[in-house]
Amino acid sequence: MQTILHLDMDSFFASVEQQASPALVGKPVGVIKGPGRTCLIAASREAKKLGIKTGTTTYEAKAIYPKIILVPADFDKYFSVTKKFIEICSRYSPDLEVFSIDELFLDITRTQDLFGGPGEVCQKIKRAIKSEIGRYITCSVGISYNRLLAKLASGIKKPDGVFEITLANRDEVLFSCELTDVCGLGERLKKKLFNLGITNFKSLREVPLGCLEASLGPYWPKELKKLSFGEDDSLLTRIGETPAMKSVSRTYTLYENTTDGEKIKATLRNLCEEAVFKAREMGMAGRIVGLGVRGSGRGVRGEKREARGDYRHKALKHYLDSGKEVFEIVWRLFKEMDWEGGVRFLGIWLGDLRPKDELTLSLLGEEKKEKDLIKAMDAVNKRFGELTLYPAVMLGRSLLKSEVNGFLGDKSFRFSPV
Amino acid sequence: MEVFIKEKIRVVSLFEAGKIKPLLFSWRKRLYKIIEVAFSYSKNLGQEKVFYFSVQTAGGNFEISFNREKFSWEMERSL
Repeated sequence: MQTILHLDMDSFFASVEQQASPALVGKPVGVIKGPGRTCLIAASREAKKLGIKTGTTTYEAKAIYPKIILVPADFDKYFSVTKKFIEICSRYSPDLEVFSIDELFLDITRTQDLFGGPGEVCQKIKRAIKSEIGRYITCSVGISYNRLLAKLASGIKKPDGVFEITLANRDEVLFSCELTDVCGLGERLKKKLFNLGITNFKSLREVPLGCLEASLGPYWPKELKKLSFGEDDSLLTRIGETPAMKSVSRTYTLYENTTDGEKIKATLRNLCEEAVFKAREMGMAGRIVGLGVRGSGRGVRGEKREARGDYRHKALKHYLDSGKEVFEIVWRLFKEMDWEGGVRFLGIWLGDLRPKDELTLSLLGEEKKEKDLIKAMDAVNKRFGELTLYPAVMLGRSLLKSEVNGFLGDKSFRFSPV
Repeated sequence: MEVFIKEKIRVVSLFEAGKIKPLLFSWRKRLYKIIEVAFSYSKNLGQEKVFYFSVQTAGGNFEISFNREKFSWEMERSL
């Protein structure tokens, strides 16, 4: 049987900020995406005790505790800590999967005896985090025989706890937790199960498979049955084995609704430059270009709506890796939307990525010129910092630079050896 | 309250076993002995790597930085 640890940093972003600034220690702190943002992306332990959580708006947080300290997020800082965290954990096993910016799985099946068993490994990691990262940074650890139960276990004794789920206590733990406490079971499925009268894992285990299939189709019932027994046969995905990315994307929420076409154009160009740079860095090119817009105004059929969204894409016959070419398609898609009203959210993506060395080379001189220009720009930006050189359409605008997100959705880029 | 400073400083530090440990620094004609490095992290600014240190001194808490390429120290902010 395997021994898997799930290590989850407690109140990660807020704890890092508290560790970095002694004035924040022991106080309710909320981390926001940037100055002027209105939603907390993390809350300190002290804030959580008052009922302020991730997702709480700054307005709600101030209503609960007017003196709450709001700190803008610094993702480079958090990712630097993540890398230290990974380094510490990797001392105890090479079988490590980075799950998000503040969570990882560690398979210590073959190494635990070298370090005195799972309990001792947990304590050694906790001590190393305290001494090498900071005494205010803690992590909760779940121990079990698969990923699913290890992740469930780490949430049971928070903060700074260790909990083990074994075959002996598995049912007791599963039957006492909420359906959505288990990774992979979200609110939509929970609602469907509630409609069938299934409110916990005990009833999920007992209900016949046929009943579930009649309501949920062929796929989910079997997966749900496995979850109800705490079964998970998935393996850890080590850093070097992360599957190649299938798409690159970048989204941005504007500070207010805008109808300024030039601003929208500059923002879209900025997003294209950033996302496509990632693809180039990984040696990839894509042929599906997508655009997502959300905001207020008229619906597709002209009806007045407070909020709406529109998502479109274009599949091409050839592969692209130029921000300019991707932007031209994105801009065409935006024009086709004939958007009336304000724009609040913009997102672009380049999909169906393939390694460039598998694609046919272009023999056209003009294309070669364009590629050389991109190559030169990339070299300058890598040497002197992101967006040292950028397209003229972005001139005079506040530049959006790449950032690590909490889910670490771009981990195959972040940990790319290229 | 945080105050952004961004000024060059002189630092006595220990470079040992791949790690940097600032020990004392002079800033605005005063000498500050570092009691504790509470936290450190690094960022890449292009090809330049900058190491940041949250340090505790008898005269207050500060964030100082070391640019590995320019080999220079800066006072970033008081904490």
